[in-house]
Amino acid sequence: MNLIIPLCLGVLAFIDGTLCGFRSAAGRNPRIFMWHYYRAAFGRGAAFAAVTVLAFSVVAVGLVLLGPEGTWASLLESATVLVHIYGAFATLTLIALGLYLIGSFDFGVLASVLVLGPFTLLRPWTIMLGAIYAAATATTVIATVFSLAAGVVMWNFERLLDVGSPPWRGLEGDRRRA
Amino acid sequence: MRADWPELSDLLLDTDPLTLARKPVLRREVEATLKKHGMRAAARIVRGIPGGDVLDPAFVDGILVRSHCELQRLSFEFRNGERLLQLLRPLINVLRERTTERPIRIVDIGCGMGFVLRWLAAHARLGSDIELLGCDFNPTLIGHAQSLAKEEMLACEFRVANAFTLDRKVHVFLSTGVIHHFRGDSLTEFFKSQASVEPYALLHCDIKASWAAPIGSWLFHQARMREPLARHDGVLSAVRAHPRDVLLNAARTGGRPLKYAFFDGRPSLLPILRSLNTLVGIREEIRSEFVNAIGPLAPRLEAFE
Repeated sequence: MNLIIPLCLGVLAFIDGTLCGFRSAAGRNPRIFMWHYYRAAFGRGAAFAAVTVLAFSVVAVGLVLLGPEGTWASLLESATVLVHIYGAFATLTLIALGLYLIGSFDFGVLASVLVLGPFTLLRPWTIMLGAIYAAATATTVIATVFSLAAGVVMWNFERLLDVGSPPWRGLEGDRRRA
Repeated sequence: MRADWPELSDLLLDTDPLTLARKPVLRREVEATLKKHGMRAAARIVRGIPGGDVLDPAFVDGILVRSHCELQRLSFEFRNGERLLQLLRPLINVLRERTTERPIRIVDIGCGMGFVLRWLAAHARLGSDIELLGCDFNPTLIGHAQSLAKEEMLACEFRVANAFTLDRKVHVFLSTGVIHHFRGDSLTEFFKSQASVEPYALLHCDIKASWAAPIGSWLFHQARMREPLARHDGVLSAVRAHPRDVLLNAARTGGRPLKYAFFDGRPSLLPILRSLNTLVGIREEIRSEFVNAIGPLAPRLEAFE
């Protein structure tokens, strides 16, 4: 049984969810020293992503065990499509992120201007187009529905995290929340 | 969007320039201004602000605070603290040699919630002989700047004050994203007011006017901002960015005897590579020392005139 592809897809979803946690928290806290704040935000995104990946894994296992013959193969085919599309997107994003974090001042800003900013806007569309393409080329209805469901969940991932990230209400507001 | 459109944040806050007292903002006046310019998106934002004839000041403050939080995130991403520091540190080194006055006072004009000064206080290690003072007309933003600086134990100070009428000597004026708010005669007056204080230098960092600026600004404000006012004014700021000749003319007309030049101001085919530029004003007697002090960055600085 080929587990590499589902594993890759799970890792991609986990990375995406973790970065969603950061984005959802960014711009809501005006402090300068933000390590603890962002660490918590990354953690929240990662936890949320892990639960989502686990839920999809359980459903996939259930479908393979209870569904008709060929379900695993069709899910694997759709997952392969998704890994190619999302993998390319994630690779470019992570390279840019690395450049931003360890590159010089100019390279950092350039990575942000050319990749990190535009890719934030492209992300939901990439997710949805990838899911639609995987669904359209799927060989079973189960794989079609599974691909679209994964796309819809990831499309809404950041919005769901936003629900738990209220706007900053001043230091007093922080203390009240704590 | 057009360059003669006013920014919504400027319309929502009205302060008496002499007493610095906040004046009530009348809804019909704001709506009339927006209607005159055909600013429909801005009008929708104003319709969402509660209050009767007078816009609810607490609600407006909430919008401005959230917008400044988001703007700070963008400033972090574009490394605006480092951007200013690469010119400020050599400038301070020159001033340490050329003046015995202490502390060397750096004043941030229109500092908002004081991101740049708080970043400098946190990361730049400028020394105990440097005083960082941020000025803004908005007491709510200044109140948050003061609280944040206190909480994080940052050596900088913030005041609701006119930066040009302080009771202390100012050695360097700086600003980020402020200068495009001034237009026409008030832009010339802005430089005149600074020059009248006789600082050693000015560093004004702002969006560089180019064909790509509004596109890039739209993209980043869609990607990074949530507050409708921040998105609206962010893009409008790029449209309103002063062309270099306009800014230099205003500075040279109103801001003598300082000499002026742009850092990263040269037009390029790919303006995304340098999307912000800094107008540098400097006293003639320290001009050549400053150019020497910035070392490898000197080719990015145009000739002072």
